[in-house]
Amino acid sequence: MAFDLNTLLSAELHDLKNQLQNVLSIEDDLLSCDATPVIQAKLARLKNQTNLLKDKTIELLSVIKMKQEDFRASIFENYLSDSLDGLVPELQAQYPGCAISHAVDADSSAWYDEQLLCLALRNAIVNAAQAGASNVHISARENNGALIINVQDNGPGFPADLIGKNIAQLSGTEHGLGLYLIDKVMALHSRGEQIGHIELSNPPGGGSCLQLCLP
Amino acid sequence: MLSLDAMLAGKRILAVDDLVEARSALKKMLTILGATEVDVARDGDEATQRILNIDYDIVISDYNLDKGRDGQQILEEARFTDRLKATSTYIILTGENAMDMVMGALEYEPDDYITKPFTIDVVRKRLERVLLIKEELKDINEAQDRHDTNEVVRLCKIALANGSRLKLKILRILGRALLKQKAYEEALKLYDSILAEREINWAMLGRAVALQQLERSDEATAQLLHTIKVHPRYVQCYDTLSRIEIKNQNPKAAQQYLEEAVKVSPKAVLRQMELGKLAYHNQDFPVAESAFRSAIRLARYSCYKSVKNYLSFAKSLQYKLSERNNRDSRDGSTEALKVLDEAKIAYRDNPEYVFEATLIESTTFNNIGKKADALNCANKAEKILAGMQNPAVTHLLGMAEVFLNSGQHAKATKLLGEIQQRDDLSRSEERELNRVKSEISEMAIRQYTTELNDKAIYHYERGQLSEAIGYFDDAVAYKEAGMSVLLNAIQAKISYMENRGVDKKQIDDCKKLFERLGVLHESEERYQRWVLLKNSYQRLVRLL
Repeated sequence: MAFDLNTLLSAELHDLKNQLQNVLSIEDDLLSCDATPVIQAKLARLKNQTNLLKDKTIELLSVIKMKQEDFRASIFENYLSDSLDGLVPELQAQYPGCAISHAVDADSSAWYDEQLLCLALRNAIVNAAQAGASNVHISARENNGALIINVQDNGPGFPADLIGKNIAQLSGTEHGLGLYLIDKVMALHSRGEQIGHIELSNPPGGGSCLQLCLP
Repeated sequence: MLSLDAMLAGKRILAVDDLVEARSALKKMLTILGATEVDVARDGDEATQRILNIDYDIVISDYNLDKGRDGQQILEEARFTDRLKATSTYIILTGENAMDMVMGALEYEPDDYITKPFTIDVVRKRLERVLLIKEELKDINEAQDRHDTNEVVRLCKIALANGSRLKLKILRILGRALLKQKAYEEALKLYDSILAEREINWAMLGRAVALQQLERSDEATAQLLHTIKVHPRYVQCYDTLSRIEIKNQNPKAAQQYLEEAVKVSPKAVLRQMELGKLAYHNQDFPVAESAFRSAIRLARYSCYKSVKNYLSFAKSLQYKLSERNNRDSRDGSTEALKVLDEAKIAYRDNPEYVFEATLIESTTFNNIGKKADALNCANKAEKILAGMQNPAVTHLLGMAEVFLNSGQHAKATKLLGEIQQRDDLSRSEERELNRVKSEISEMAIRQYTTELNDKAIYHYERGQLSEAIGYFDDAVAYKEAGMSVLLNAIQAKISYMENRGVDKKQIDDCKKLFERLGVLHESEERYQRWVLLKNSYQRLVRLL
């Protein structure tokens, strides 16, 4: 029988994800028991860590999927605020030291692969939180039928050598898997001649701004 | 703007989930949000039963329901049977990562999906949005529910001219309405303009349908193949491709497209039935068998439950049966008889269906060599037929064939004669009549040659060789005469010559008979006899 590494990896990762889901539900059970506040706090941290592991597993699954030759994004009309409503509280719980918020209109819809865009947004927010920002804010605006999503933070800003560069042309993952992945995800969204991309900037007021442009 | 509790108050709502906690949590959330009439159902059967009896304004269903059908299937049936109006709202709840499976494969899309786990805030926000959209589209949806297509078109055009924020939703409804009005040129233009902006799946399909109706089937096919490439799970494209191939009289290709569609979306009953019919027509019985088996399983508790599935399934199993009745044949016949029993019980109030099932039962027994059982079923069918008022021609033809297969030639001939008297036969019924008639004449001849053979043997055994030869000559004059008749005839002629001397005519006859027999192989039962006769014949030839 032909041995397909990707299939095997995907199956293993799926299993891993399910196991982590089981751990999470045990942690939920424990959290609902009577316990001292100290134990409650530790359990909450444990749950955050487990969630992080689960997210990483899902991320790896998505990367394997995207690597497949015949892979195509499943692009449908989605409401960005719905996607963020799922994502933001979860990340907020994982990074309590960083205030994460969004101001996306509940009625504004856009065309994207929800799973992939969430992967990109998650990476963008986690990047900001891990770089030391205490505030991350997501906003969006429409531009000629395209959607521009801004992920703005008050952290140290992007390294100067990254500003204005075309991320797709940087070699692989030298600046972390995060940006590389986000750019890959955006590139899977196209409309006619236009292809999705990201833009990096460090606004004058400080912090960084990552723009995700969905055509 | 209307508030959510104002929109929910007085609405009939159905909440479907297989888990009792989830069901009551959902009901509680809805009540907090202002709903006043919430029913619950725990699975597809219960949900469908409720939807059949009550006009619901809103249905919220989990996608995965423990047994039976899922939330998508409930939606499809409800819309298909017109039990859920365009003005009603349907929301599907899915687990994380299940969206891939759910999206893009659908003929009937829900108004929204909510990913589990969800909070009351999420439910509030989603319901608010989707109900406001329903409010805005109310006039158009009401016209759709009245099947007033002209009004739908008129209202859509007004809404678009007024710059509605729901432009795409309205364009989608308008496109479908134009196709219904057979305004294919206008529909095509509409879809082209949408596609110039963005490759939206439903617009691509709509364009293909319009092209097909305009007899531009090559372009339609190209559009559909491209759509499948972009949206591989968009099964309706395969359905349309299949219909194009049927129109092009290419049923094998049509079947292949349906097989693809079934792979993507194996739970759609109607498609399984379509595939079964097509595969049966193409004599691809294994595919027909599996499609009908799925159709029966999927439709068991649904509005698509149909006797045709049971009967067609039993028919498509016949290819497995043989008189030797090996394992495959035993399994096949057991399954066929079981499904026929099930059909006879489920449709016991309908003599036509019981009759058809009994005919197939008889055929099944006949195919596994159980002649007595086959005859028994034939007799039962005959009785049911006698009680039927104005039986259809297909029923009579079916009966005639079963008479024939159970060895009742006289009855078959009589019935076929009656059918021939009728002047309301369709072309396919006439074809079928001729087929059964030719079968009966073949059988009659075989029977007749056997009778001649018996008479010939009677004279032969009494040494009346000339008489015996006379009967044998009559018997072998039919091309249907069997091997033993031919050998008997040769033996009679040789005995005749051995008694009365060699005769040119008898030698020539024997030569022709040997030619008809061909060369027998050692393994054949009659090989020894053939060798002996051949030796005697060659000895006689040398004496000539």
